[in-house]
Amino acid sequence: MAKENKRKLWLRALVVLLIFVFFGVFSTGYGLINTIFVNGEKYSRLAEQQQLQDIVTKAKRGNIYDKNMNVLATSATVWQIFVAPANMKDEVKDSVAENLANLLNQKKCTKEKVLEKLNKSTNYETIGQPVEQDTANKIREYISKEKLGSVIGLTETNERYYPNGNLASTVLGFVGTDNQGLGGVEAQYDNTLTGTAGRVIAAKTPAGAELPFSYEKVIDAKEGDSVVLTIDEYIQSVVEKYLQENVEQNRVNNRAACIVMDVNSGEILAMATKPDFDPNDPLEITLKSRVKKEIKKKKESNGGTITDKEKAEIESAVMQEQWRNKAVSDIYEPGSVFKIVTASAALEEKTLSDSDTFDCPGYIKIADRTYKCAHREGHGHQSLSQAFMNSCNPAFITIGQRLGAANFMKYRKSFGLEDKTGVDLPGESISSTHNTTGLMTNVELASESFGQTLKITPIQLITAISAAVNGGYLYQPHVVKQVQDADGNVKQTVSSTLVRQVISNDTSKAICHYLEGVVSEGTGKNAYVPGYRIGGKTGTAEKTDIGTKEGEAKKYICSFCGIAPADNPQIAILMLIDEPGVDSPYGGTLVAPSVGKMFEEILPYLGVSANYTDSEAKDLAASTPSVVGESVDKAKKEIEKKGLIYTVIGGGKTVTAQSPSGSSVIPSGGKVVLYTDTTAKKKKAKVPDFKGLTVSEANERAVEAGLNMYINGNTSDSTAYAQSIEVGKKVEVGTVITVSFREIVTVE
Amino acid sequence: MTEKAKTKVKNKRSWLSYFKKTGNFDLTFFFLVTGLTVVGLIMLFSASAPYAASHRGSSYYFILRQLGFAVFGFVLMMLASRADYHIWQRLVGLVFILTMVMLIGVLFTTAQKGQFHRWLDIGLIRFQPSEIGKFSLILLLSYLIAKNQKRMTDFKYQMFLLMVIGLFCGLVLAENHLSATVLIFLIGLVLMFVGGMSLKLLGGMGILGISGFLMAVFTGLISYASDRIKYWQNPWLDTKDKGFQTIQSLLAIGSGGLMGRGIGQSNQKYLWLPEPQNDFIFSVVCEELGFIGAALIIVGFGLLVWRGFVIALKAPDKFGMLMAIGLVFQVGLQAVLNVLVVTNTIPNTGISLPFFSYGGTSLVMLLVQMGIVLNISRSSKVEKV
Repeated sequence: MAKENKRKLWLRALVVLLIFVFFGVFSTGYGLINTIFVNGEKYSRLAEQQQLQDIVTKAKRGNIYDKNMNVLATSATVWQIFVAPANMKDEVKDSVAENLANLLNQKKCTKEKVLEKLNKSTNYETIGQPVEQDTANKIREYISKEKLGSVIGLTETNERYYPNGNLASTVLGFVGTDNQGLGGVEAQYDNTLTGTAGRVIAAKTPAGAELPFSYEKVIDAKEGDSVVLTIDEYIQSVVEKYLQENVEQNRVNNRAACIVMDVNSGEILAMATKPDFDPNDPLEITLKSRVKKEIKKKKESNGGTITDKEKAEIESAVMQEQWRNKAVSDIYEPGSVFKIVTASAALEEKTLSDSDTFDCPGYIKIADRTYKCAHREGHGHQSLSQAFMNSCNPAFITIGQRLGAANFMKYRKSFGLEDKTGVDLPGESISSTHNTTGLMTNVELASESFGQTLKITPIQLITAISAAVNGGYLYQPHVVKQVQDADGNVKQTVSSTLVRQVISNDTSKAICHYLEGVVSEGTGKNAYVPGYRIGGKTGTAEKTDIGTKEGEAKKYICSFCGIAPADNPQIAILMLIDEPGVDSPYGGTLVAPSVGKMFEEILPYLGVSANYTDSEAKDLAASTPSVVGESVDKAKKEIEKKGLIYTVIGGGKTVTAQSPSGSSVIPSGGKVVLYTDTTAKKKKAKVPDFKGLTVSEANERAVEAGLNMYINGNTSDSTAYAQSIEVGKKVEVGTVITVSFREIVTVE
Repeated sequence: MTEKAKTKVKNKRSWLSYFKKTGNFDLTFFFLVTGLTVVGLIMLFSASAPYAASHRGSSYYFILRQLGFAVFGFVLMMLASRADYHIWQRLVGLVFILTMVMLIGVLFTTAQKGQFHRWLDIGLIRFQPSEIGKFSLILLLSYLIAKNQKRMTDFKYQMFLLMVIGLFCGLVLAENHLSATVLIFLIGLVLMFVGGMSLKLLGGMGILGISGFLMAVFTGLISYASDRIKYWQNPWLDTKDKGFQTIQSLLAIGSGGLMGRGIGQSNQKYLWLPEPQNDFIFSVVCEELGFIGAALIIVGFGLLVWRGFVIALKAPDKFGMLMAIGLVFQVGLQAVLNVLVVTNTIPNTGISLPFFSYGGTSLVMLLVQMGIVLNISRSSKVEKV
């Protein structure tokens, strides 16, 4: 090789090497850096996404307890059955449908229904409602026995369960399909109750790949915390019983609400709206008549037809309404109950004194407006106490005018009536119509002094009244008193929040005194409970804002707010019924009796002891002794000892039966019928009609019929309006029949 | 002796005489080859095990076969390293004819499982004739250039050589094997360049090539809308099918990061990455060994090329030099193109990674060719390590 030639060769080889190395290093370096460092994060994330399956395991939702740790809402693990019809062989479908329907044993899940789903060509169809452990196990057994694992499966879910059905439903709320809280405490404390979802991260491969390892990372779900409410299950059930009864008796059109509050802490012991709903099945429409009415209305305006969409809209709107917590979400004109606030402010500001008197000619003129008193003839000359008992509008308008707009507005604000109470429930409303910018005119002041034209929520009013009677302390109302973890350890305790002192102790004491007078002698008599010192104020407000059509009856909201014991208030009960469908729609007539019944059952439960007057003691009920099997002589003695009388039927020596049975509560002096002969025919009596009778008239009629009457409600100047056994029914002689009395109060 | 007589004597050299030991071979090159082969086998085992288990019933399916071929290949490599490389000068005609037979013959085979006519099945072994084509071209060009060194300035002779290259390219292209065609063309060009090709001609070819390429693009012969280009630019257009392999490769490399998941720890090899033992083995390498491991392997290939060139430059004659350059350049170029494919830097073509990708015949051939380079190193004036 020539030397020059060789050098040229060398040079060229070197050029090739250098170009190649440069190109090679640069290009591969670019490729790797671009893939690993520039886009690496994205790629590795995508890789992870395809390689791992990330299954979210739902956390068990925390429980909701009442104040005594009774379960109001809990979560149970249930299993939803699903099938993959597309992969199921046609020849097995019939037997699968039959077996699943039998195993599930659910009303709405017939063999035909299952078969219908199995005949679809989809990959996922759920069958029936979720089932509990034992049914799930039976289905698993069936699947493995018939080798149907590839076409039938079960997924675990948590189902919310409310053991008491409707009880406190508007307070509790309910949960959606994903267990998210919707409404009530469920929504307000959703984060607390939900807990933290867990995850199971497992390696995933395309079909057919076997992993030499089983990669599985489990992050346990953390069970949600439980909340303990201030609600007392017993008090709640008492409230709901009488609220429901009232709604039915008075054909209440626009629902009714009731709140029981511990006046010394702001704790809500009970809160109810009726009609409400069953949170186990919140989509079921309970206001069926409302739906019918709305559909009819729509049809009329449409000219006889209605589309499915319009129907669905109506149903959805009605559902929203049945879920609504009227006690915090609806504003209303409180009417005369509000006079408590006006009087408190005036007494505190000393523009009103106990010795003030008022003259009521039946109306009062403020500027160019004339306000009529409910009692058209006028109440004449009254003391302040009498003005309260009479619920005299001109008197309270006068009190308001003397107080002055500035002071009135100051107390409206300090009683918390211009702000939300901050109760720990969702959907609290507040009126936007308060005149808070300038000074009220005298006419505005006059209207608001007796509870007209201003609109507030029931929760605002009971909070203010609690402050007025508890010594003047305004507390923030609340329904949750404690948060506990899954093991029952207390994580958080909600103490009472004192907002401010609104009035002095003395003013508060005076207010209690006047309120007691309303119940003992005034418009609130129907709330009286023998042995207890009850105070209260009635209220009836004409719904002027909704406007009534020509010829249509006026609409009212009737209410009553009671406090007890009046000498040292512990609880307040506010109840209102919106649009009662009966005559004489007055709070004192329609609402006070229900509140009285509530007090009668709640006060002994709270350990408030009764002190009876002599005349009350006379009417006091006695408990019948149990004397079956005893000798007739001994039985007679035992019955006399209880202050009761007896009748013996038959000639035997031993008592074989008695009516009423042992431990029945009948009025003192009531009659017990003793049977001494098993062959003796039991004497029957026909239940008479007690309606409209006074207590003594009713008692006479009961004795005539051979029945024992148990008196319920206010007995002075009262007439019977309800009885526990219907008229004309044949019952055994001596049977106890409960007759409810109330006084018709037409003056507000 | 006349020139002719000399040649005659040479020609009469006995076959056995080629196997006389003439000196030590280059240990550096030997260890580089051995190192790459061992690392290649380890990574093949790791990458192929899940696929083998699922598709062949045993995790060891590929590694055991490859290991067998590697041992066999090493024996042949040692044998080739003993055989004086000049023996190939005498076999050039035979090799050329055999290559032609195979390259033409393969076009008449039936295509298997969606492949083109690329594979030949002769009883026990199954291989791509284009692999032999590469070796055959290197041998033929080295022989022709070295033998007719003086004619390298002759334009006609250069054209003749280009036509030889064109023949090989044409036959491989007929298999629809574009990447091998490009590879063969580049190897041929490099050998001609080093062998003394006129720069004018090279420049002319360059201009011709570029204008031809532009013409092809312009007339639509190479269309940018063609699937290959489309899914190269954005494999996510079809994540299920056409872009699938590329995407899976990128996900593997990307999740390797700087340090990798550790050997054996790839997730992508669990049937995400299709046939991870073949062209895309480097993706698994990147996932398990990370950027550092990948870079070290590339450096390994670089050192192999560098050492090959050193051997070539010190070779006793032009034939040996060109052979060595051709052989190591072939390995280096293939490795670079493979890395560019798996990182989606260039469109996806079928280029395997030497020493790593599964394929017994091709491994054996590769080792034999490395044996030839080792033999050249015996007689070259390299400072022996």
